[in-house]
Amino acid sequence: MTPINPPLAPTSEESALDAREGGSPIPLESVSVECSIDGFAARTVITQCYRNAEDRPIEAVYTFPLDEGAAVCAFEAWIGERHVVGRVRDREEAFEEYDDAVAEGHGAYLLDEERADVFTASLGNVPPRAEVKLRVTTVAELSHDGDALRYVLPTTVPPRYAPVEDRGGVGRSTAETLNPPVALEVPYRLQLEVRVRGGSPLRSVESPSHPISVAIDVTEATVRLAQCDAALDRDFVLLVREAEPHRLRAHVERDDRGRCAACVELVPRLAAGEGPVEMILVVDRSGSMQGSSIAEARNAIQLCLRSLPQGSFFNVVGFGSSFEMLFPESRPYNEETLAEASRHVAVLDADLGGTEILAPLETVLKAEQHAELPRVLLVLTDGDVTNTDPVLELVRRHAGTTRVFAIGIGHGPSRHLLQGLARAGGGSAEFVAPGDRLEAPVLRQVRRALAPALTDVTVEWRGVGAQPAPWRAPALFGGEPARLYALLEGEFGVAREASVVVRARGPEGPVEYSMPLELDAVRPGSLVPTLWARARLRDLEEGSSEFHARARSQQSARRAKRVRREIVRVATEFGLASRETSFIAIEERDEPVEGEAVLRRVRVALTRGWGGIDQLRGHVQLAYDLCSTPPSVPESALKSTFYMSDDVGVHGHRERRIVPIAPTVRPLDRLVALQRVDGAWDLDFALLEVLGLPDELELVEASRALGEAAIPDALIRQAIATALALSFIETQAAEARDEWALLAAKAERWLAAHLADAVVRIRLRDAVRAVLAALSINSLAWAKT
Amino acid sequence: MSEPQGKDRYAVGELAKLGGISRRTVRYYVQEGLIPPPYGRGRGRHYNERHLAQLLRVKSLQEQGLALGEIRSLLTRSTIKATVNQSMTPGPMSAVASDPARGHYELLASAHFAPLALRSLHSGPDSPSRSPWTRVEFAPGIELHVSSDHRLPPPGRLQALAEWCRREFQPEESKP
Repeated sequence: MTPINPPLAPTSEESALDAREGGSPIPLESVSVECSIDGFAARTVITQCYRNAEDRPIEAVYTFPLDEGAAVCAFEAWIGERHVVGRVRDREEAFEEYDDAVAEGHGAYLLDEERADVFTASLGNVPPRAEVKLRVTTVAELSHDGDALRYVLPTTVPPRYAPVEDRGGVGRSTAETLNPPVALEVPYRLQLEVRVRGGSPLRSVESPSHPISVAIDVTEATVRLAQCDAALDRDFVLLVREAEPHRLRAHVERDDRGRCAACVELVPRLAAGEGPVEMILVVDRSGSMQGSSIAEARNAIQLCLRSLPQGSFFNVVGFGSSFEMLFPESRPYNEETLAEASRHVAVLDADLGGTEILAPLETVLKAEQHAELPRVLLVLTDGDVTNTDPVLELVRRHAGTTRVFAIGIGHGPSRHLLQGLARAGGGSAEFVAPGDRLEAPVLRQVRRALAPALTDVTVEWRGVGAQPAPWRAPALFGGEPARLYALLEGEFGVAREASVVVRARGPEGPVEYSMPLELDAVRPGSLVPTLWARARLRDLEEGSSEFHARARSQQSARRAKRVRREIVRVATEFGLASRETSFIAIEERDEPVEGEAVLRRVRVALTRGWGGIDQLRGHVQLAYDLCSTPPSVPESALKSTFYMSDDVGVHGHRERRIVPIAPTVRPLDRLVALQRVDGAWDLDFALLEVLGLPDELELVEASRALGEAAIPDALIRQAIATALALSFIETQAAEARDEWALLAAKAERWLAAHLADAVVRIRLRDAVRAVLAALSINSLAWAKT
Repeated sequence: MSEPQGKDRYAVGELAKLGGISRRTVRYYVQEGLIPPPYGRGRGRHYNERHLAQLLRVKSLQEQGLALGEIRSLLTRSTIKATVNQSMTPGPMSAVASDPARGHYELLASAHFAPLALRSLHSGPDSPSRSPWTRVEFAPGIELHVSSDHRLPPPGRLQALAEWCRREFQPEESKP
């Protein structure tokens, strides 16, 4: 992106002013993170340094993000030399303790979970000129990203759209709770160090989100930010690849309180294959998707549509404040509908206002299924909404008929919503940071959606009493690891037979796997028991526990009480924050603070790229694609479509400019767009142009290769075009194989169906390869454009 | 707000309970300037009936969907008569208000449990002959109406009565 005028760097004073609350300095000075990755999990320690630069006591309140799957297992405060350790209590009791301590002039430190991925730290009665450090410790599983392990540290809470029901109600509204005040820039910065310990030599350690410096010593690595600090405006992502990918299998740990928990990792082997589906692409067209996000989504949908197998049905639904469906109901996948869909998708824009995701999902999920095909939803969104709970509940209710796959777009997608959709809908979630190509994760999702999976999975823990978590096992995909936990009961001092038996419905009937559990080889450690407790709390909070399965709807009030009691019990027993429990630490003072503490809410940095707004050395830039309609004024859109406090500092005094971005369409994307529904290509000017062929005369040799095949002329032209396109992508886009594997398989099937003689096919492929080689187009590294 | 003499004193927990809200919400209302801060400091801090009245008014206005800014502007007026016509949802109050025999009603900021307090103004808002009523909502759909001829029981008794009503009127399926 190139600014129209040279940008001006802001002074540090300007930068600080943006984030100030009514002219007062903001109390948060820095955030430092130390993370250690060992095996399949990461332990992260976040230290927030506060300083009260005012002459009166303050109450500092900071709302910040954490990984939605993380277990928050410790909370401490340092006030100068004093150290107080947080205890887990019932959420309201913790608040009452905090409130009393504040009223009495003592120091009080509270950590509340607002959502699984949004937390609020409150520091009551910070005395004038005092410094306070808060330390939050989490443990989390790493997710798999192809052959890599993916570590994510969210740093930003993007503005979340709140439907009307979340904007009202008694007390602080959900909208206000989940939307802290924002500023374009904040003076506090992120410092970070990650230590990686692999089970085998490390092949690569890289970050798609930040420039980093990495020191690798065989199996260990230390990662730091390339610059000493970074803005807290986008998620930090780290991908770790080992020479031998980590495989956990079964692992039992006992913590220092004698609690034993097991973790089992399953990697099912399933035959590759794909079948027709009813696929509904649900794309977020709200204001927050403006800019690169909606452009990426357009490309992704085009690619996805062309990867569908014949016999499928499909539809495209765009949503914002309202929603638009391409067809009133899913239509058969053919040339005509694909052409119509392509035209529709080409002009899709983020012009539908708010993010009312519930209504389109409800309409789609309640619609009648077509032709007895399995129905899958592919949801593309930044997911920044406040009404996560009803959305997940809806998807869970329809899990029997519809699987949901999610793709998170942008620098700060709501992982809680997207992972939750995947958990509730028996699918999976992928995330794409701006700058990453969207195609690979999209096609991984399409492949999962089309491939056979193990569903109706049940797990039996034989020979040992066990409380499993998750209570309902997820769907299992071929080659993709899934982890199951159980809290084990009884004594394990002596060896005894125990095993885990997994039964499921596979593509060819019921399957059963069994894995021994070595109870005499229990290791000391608290990681697995803590992760069990986190999984258990997630079941309870997301409505997928045994309580939810048993109770009838009219017993919901009683069930809610039981669920709440169980959450408080598990969370306090394992010392974890949850929706119903908070951490509280009290610093009793010999000399209580005099005077009322003034509230200071810490502004958070606006997520980079949010709603098409970008920051470039202090200038706010509004980016839009040349092909799309220039967006309406986002400043007003911010207030009308997103909940924000009246004094939101999104635009401040800075200049805003419209910066067009040149469309970057790769030849691969253009080739994909030309593929027919049946998998073939047509030999026409558009194809020749993409391939760089001056004219058809170059293809005389190729047509001779088909001379003996008894096929109509029209098919000869298509066969040559298809072979050309295939050879082209195989030689020129080898690195992007993930992106075109499905398309290529479809093309190969077409060739095999129309050129039954394998020898003829080989001759044809050889002939077109020679044509391409002669053109020396191999030197065009176009796949990387 | 000057501290009244000899009036009821509520600890923050009592105030929250009487108002049917959490202590978090009490603190939020104070921080947002929707109700005045408590009297005193530390364990001695306390609230009184005026706090309670204002708290109930704010809560009711929030329930009716008013934004904080709108509530703040309403609170600056001495009466919020306009809101009765503009924003009260249909319910018991509307039913009473539409009864021609009872005259029309006005919500007064100074009422005991405003805005749940009703005043019957048989001969106009400024008439000296008005007969004030206090309406206390114990639970959705359960209210106590008391005319000024009777004194309200002290808060502890009122709370006990409210709890009894909530228990007795609890729907069958949600009973433990």
